[in-house]
Amino acid sequence: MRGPAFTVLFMTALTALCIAGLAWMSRATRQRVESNAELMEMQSMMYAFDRLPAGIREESMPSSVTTAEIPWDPAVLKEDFRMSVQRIDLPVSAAQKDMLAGSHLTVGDSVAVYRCSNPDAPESAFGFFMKGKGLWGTITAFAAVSEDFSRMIGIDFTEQVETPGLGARILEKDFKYYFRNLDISGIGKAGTGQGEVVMSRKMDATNVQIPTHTFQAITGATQTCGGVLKMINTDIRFYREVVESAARAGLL
Amino acid sequence: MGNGMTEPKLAEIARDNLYKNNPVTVQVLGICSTLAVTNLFINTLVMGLGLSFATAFSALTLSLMRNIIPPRIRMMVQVLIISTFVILVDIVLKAYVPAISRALGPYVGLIITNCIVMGRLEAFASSHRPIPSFWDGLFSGFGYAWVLLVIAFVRELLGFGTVLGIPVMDPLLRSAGYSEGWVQWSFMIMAPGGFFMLALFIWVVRSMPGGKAGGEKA
Repeated sequence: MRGPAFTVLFMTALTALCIAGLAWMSRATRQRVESNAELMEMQSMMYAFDRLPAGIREESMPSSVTTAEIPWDPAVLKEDFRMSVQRIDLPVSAAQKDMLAGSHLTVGDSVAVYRCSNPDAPESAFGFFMKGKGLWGTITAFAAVSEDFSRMIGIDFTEQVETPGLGARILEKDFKYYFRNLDISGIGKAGTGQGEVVMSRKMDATNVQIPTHTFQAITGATQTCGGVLKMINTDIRFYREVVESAARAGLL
Repeated sequence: MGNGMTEPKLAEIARDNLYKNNPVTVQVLGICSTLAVTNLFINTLVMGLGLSFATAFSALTLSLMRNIIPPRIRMMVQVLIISTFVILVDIVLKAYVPAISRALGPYVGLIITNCIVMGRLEAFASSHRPIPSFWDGLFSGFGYAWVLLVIAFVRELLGFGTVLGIPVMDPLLRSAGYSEGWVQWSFMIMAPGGFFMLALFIWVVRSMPGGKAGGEKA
């Protein structure tokens, strides 16, 4: 009968073999996984900046389409991104960090903001990452806003672990389309008569048709949508302050 | 094999796992993922294929080592083997179909805890030869997958009005003269919808002739 020594040796050897196999597989696919992640991030950012592939009209896309399902040409996407999107690291003061109380976004002494310039339009747009709390975990989004922070150009969700078919539907075009041309001018301006962004159960028109400060929530995904709402109202206020402060300092 | 047990025929193994001794409808195993991923057909398809792969190759690997595994650590060895193949599936999905991997999220990793996988390894692969064990694992996965796909088809159709993301109910109703189109059954998308669909499906299957395990009459 085999003794304890054989048991320990067997388990050790099997564990080492399994780990070696998985490590090899992970290493062999690492570049591809990283490349996929980089490509997906670019897709999200360009989607948020409303820079879709040529010939693609968002209005005619099926309602459940996600960003990954749009027919991007990787080479064209990378070139377009390289030519039009510029990353800028802006300083963050202690007072500005305090504005993120209650947010899931954490920043150091500087924060990345992306500027997208469009040769067909005089104005550029700003983009940035936001974080919020969904039902099951953190939601990370990339939002693009107009230069004066008066309206949202678009949003995409880069990380989420919400329920498939419910909260995870924030990835779908139907939900994200309500953020195009969303009025965000009232964020952080209590008492001015302008409203912060709110959500509604049912909207009769999109913000592209009639600009409002409302987006349509997903039935059965109240907590997920609530997390998105809070994220927008908190993080956009922070980024507006950071960008305006940088502009005053001549950094932009 | 050394213990006098006769190897079952491959056709018999396939038939048992697909219907007569189906892991979901008869053994009632793997229920948690049945409820979690069956609100969308494509997610269910990938989940079913992933589980079939993991079960088949885990069974094959365990069977190859069955005569040298110390009995007192056999469960640990089974979990280790299952985990290895499930993580392999996860890595491949992330590398080659990242959009689906993202959509499935944590559910792929949860295959490790699916009782079907461990159940088949313990009940079959640990005492049978490699080829029949591989076949049993594969068809256990297929038996699980086809039940989930039927449930997913109904849940997605009634919950979203779509099949594989393609709108079906709305165009159908509008062409029949219902101007409001299809109103989604949100209940079908949520977990209780999965409970009800699964229960109904088990009831239907068990009511059919020969539907119960062990040849018991319906």
